Amino acid sequence: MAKMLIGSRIRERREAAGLRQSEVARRAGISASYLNLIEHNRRGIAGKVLLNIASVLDFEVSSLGDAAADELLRNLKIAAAGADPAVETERTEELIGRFPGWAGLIAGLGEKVRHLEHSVSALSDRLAHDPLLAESLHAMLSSVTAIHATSGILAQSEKMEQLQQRRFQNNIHQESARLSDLSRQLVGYFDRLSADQGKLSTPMDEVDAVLTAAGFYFPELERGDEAAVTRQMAAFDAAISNPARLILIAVLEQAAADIAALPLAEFVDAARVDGDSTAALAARFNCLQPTIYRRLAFLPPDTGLPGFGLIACDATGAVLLRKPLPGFTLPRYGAGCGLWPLYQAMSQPHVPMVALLQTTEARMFRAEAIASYLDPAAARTQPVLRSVMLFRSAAGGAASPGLQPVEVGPSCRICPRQACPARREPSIMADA
Amino acid sequence: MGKHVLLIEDEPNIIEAITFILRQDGWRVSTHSNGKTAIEAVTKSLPDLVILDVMLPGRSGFDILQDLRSRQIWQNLPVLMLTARGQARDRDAATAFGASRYMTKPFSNSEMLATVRELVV
Repeated sequence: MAKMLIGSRIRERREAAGLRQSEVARRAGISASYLNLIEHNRRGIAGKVLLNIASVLDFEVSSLGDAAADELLRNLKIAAAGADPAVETERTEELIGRFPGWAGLIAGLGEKVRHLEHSVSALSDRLAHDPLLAESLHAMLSSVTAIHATSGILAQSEKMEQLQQRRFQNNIHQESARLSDLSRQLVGYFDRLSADQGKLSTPMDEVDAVLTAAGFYFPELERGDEAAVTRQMAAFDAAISNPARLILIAVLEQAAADIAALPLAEFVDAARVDGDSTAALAARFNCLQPTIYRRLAFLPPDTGLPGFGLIACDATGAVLLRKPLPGFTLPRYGAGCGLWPLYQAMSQPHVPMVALLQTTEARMFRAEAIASYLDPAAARTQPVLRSVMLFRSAAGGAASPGLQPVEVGPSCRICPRQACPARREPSIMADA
Repeated sequence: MGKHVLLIEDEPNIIEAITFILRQDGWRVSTHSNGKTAIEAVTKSLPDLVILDVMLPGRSGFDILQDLRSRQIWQNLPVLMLTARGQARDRDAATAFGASRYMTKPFSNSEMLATVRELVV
């Protein structure tokens, strides 16, 4: 939790209670000027003073958490990492408290810069390694070489047999026709590249954006007829690249199959009873646990069940599907935290792994993961392994009796746990 | 009879132009277009100079050059590498693998002729 931002929240509660600063300060045993500094996020607050103020204003200290502000704080720290050392990172929380609009703008710009850097890198890679481009340029140079050498011969040879002369003229004609074709191909190539300018991010990024905009809920699929996937694609109304469209269709087809196996009303009723035991739900509906995971993650928002996040990856760690939750960041690029059960599940396929995860903001999440072979019958010859992790908030610990919390992070690069045994690269976060 | 140049290249119109230029200058020219059998072509024709393209079907020119230089008999054979790829790493590779000279496409006819004359004294 961002400690200094608590000041803004205290001020909100004091004003809502209709109390003056001096009155609250007196009853909490501090000076009015000190409370003023706290409320303007210029002084941190914890311990007895916080408890006293909470008592005066009649609220639970734990209710002061604000996932959005914590997310903003994390994003600002990422934006500041690697920037000019003159950036006053120690006053980031004060910035959020006093100028939330500016703070949001800076964090947004930082995210945009990271996205553009990713796009530039993807474009450079494409230009450097695109086989069509490399082949076309090689063919163009070969044609130019043939034309240059042959025209040089024609221009410089005073005596040449007529037959030979005609052959060379014909060769030049052939090569110029080839050059014309190649030019057209390249113009088409660059036209397509230009049309794709807005989609230079990966197809997975595009899929991510569509699913996020839809709130990870697919109402058309719940109607359950054969054209549901087509209707849901149309309902998204998103201009996406063909590769992204194919990935999205695969996600929807999987979701449609899950919905067919687990009808909404019946499943929600069962999940209200057995929501924390996906094994019980799987047994009840006679399906595999990953089906339960996906169904829980892609339910309508008004079921009364807690919100579930989900991440799926293959054996390389490449993310196949991601649904983050407030307070549980999933990396957009690269792998997540090596301590997540998502990865550990791959050491024992088909065995569910459950863990209580404590994030760097001290939030608790119950996570369970299971890895399974895409085609169990071909597991020996073609062992294609996929792992999927379901997670939900475990504030209060009711959902995780007996589990010891594991300290995890979002991904090494933006994780402040410097001494983590699973660290694979240094963090850009300056402080813990 | 003039000295013998073996041209290993797969573009027919480039083959015809280089062959013409060299023959006009008195060289005896034979040609070969397949990378896979290039070593056999060298062994069979015993050239005084090889003009070797880098991008060949079947086997790259760099690979052929490396193979040639690994054989005692061809260690001093003049080899002129010819390629459409003018990048620094290709020039470095050609030198490292033992090319006598390196020429990028497109080249001028006079440059080609001068280089061949220089390599076969």
